[in-house]
Amino acid sequence: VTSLELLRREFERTSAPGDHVVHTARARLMAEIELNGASRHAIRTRRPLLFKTVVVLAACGLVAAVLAFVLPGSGGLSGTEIAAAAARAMTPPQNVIRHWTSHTVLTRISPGHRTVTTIDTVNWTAGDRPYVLHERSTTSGDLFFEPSWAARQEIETTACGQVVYFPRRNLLGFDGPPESRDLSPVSDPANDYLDAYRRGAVRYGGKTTFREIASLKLVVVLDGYETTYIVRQDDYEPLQVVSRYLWQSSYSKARRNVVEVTTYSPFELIPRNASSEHLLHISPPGGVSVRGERPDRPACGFYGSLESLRRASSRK
Amino acid sequence: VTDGDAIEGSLIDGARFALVFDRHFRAIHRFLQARVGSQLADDLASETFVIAFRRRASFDRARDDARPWLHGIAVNLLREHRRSEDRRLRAFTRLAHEGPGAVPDLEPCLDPTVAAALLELSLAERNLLLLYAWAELSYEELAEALALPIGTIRSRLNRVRSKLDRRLTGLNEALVPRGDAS
Repeated sequence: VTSLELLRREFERTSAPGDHVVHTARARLMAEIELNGASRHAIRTRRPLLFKTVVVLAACGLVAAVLAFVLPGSGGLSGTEIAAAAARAMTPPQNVIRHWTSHTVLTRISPGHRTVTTIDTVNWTAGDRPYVLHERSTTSGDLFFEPSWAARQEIETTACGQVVYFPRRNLLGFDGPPESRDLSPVSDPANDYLDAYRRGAVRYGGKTTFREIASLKLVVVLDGYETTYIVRQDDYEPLQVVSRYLWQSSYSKARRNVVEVTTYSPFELIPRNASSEHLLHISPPGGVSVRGERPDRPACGFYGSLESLRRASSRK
Repeated sequence: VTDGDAIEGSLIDGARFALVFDRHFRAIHRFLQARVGSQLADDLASETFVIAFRRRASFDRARDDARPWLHGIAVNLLREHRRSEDRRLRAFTRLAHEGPGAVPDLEPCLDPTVAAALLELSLAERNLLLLYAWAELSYEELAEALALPIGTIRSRLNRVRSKLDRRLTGLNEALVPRGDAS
């Protein structure tokens, strides 16, 4: 009997956990999923990970948070109270579509190399279930390995996945090429903030002024991102979000520091009903070419099928 | 549906992560239970999946099997419980001299000689050896779980196995109760 066989024999004596242990652990996981499961932040973090990002920014938010939260805040509120008030203000109202435009400048910096990409995006999002984010973006500057026809695209993200439409090719893809998703960094700042807040990663960064508007800074250090939200002092609506992170290409050892600055228009709230639902969906014109297949997700019914997209289009 | 598919899907719909739990929880728990006993394993196995869910965006979704990744998280959690593991191994070694009544609450698991041999390994050596022997990870999977180059895994594992062989041979003689020596 070798030492390895001896070890394995010993392990065979270990029994599997009982059902109650499995049930308790599963319940704990499901509670965590309920709290943080369908977050826009998670979608966002896919982008650098498509390139096997190596996260090196240290998540030292706890110490910073403790320091920041004892600082005097706005209108006599503590930093903790400000972070909570912002979370309440950013919680999406029921049955409402939030509409806004954004302008993002994305700068990638490596030694001796600097590229700039700008993305202008029009967004519609439903903050309550069924969650949908519909973004229509135009990218210019460094297209980052993307063909020029992919610079304009429309993405519909739901719990069932993504549908990407490229108007210059009249081409529809289910899930879309990863690079396309990389070109679509604009996300919902309110949902991102809420996600960070629930995870206890927000600290108050003090008062500031943004385009002559009295504002507050809320800083999040999470999952390799350091993100500063500049929000209006009066109603906490996001004005600008600055995000910094590091990514590493999977194809080489190249690393780049990325700085992403997104400026937002005021949020417009539209009642969500049968006549406005089309705003949340891609509605491709006739003759559209389809690349790839709709992922097989039985629970999603006919989501993403051409039929469903044409139906959405016909309601427009 | 591979684990990679489920984890990718969970980035948008978190509930899909439950599939990863259903597939691997029992194996992770069993591994942890053999290391630190069932009570602590209950907590650590549960914690492993909560941490995995929070870090799901960092999982390489090209991989079909999440087992190495999950075991990597589990052994990282074990670092904070090394004293508990050592205490437990020492208790097993006492069984050789004092019999089962000496440690009445101990779950039946490790042979005293094996426990003594494991006790003499460093935590890194123990993790490597037991992920190989108990979790049955391949060299490639060990490299993923422990974030080490595969060449390092191969050479370290050979060294640890030789060390274990030597220890087991020596300990086997030393730990046999005197009454049984004849």
